[in-house]
Amino acid sequence: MILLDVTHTDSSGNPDQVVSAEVMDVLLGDPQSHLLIFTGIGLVNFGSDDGPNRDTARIRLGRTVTQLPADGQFSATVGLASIGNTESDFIFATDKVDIDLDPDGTLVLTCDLAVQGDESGLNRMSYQLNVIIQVVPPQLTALLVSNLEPSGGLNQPPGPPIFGPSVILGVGVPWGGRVVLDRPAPAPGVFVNLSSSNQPVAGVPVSVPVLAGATAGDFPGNTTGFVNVSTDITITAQLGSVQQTALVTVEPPAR
Amino acid sequence: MGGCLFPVETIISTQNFKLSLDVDQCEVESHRFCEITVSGPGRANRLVIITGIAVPAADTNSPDPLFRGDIFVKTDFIITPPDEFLNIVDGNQNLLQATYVTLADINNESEGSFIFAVDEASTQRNVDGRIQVNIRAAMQGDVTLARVAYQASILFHKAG
Repeated sequence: MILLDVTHTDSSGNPDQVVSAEVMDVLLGDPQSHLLIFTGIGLVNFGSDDGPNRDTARIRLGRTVTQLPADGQFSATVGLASIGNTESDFIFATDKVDIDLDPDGTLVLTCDLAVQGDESGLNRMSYQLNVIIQVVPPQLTALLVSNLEPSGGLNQPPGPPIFGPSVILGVGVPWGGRVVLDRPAPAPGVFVNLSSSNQPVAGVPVSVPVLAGATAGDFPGNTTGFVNVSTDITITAQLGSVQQTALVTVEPPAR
Repeated sequence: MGGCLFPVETIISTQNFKLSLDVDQCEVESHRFCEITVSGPGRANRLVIITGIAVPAADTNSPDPLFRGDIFVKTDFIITPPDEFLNIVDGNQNLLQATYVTLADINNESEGSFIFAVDEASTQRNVDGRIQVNIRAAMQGDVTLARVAYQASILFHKAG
């Protein structure tokens, strides 16, 4: 088995298993339907010193999908891109192309290879895979808030702020929030709408972006406003029809 | 194409050969298509991307002449009325197509010079409605052009 990965790079950060790897993500009429077009040239470097040599190349394409596309939902082609031979009789073949899923959900292109002949090498193979996938939209699973103070205790290095379902704040202090999705946001990302039950005291931006591939997005809250009494404020996040809330309590200054 | 016994060898003896390969007759490996709903250009509402590896197994068995000919790949994608493929974009009078082909399996069976070539490619709709990929190919030397990969992208208007 010849295993290649489009994301693999050498020590200089250059791809060293698949070059010219591209994926075009085309949104179709149904907003959940995407056409993914993968192209690239796999550096299979598959050789033979004489007799027939056969193997299968598996190219990890760098995109995860929830299930293997069915017949009618994909098509693929492969071809010889670079071959070499120092004697005259030879065979070079790319054959039987298919797709598969690795256990981590990464889409894989498979292709049988064959080489025969003295000093013969099938150095590179080209491919194009066209796949229609249904992108399941992410669900909003949590809205968390934080006073943004570093975590950690005495004799411990400061850690990242702790986010939770509620927070107690003083007047005139910064705070922040975090929205959490159940799966990575699809390209080009999603916006989660935000609102506050008391915008002058604990204001929030209109929305927070969750970048493509991320499962969470952070937003800053406005510095808390003045209150005379302890005030509970509900922060609401909404994605599609799903809402999540968090509680911000602002305490008045000590007298 | 599980279970297919693909052609082993087709001797090419004429310099303007014609080979017809049928997806339904186990003469094409890994044939597939995916049909995509689109909204244009014109009245086109479907893009179909058809791929596969045709198995001409064309063996020259003669080192001297340059053999050039046509390979026809009959796919299993069919356009029949009321679906339309003519006069859907700016009065087109031929199937709207973009066709790509490449060498997939080549054999040189003796020492000496050789040529393998895919010179031209196009896609048409046959009178029976089947979509057919046309490949103009050439070979020279004691060689076999065993397999040729193709991708045909076509546009049409699906009724209803």
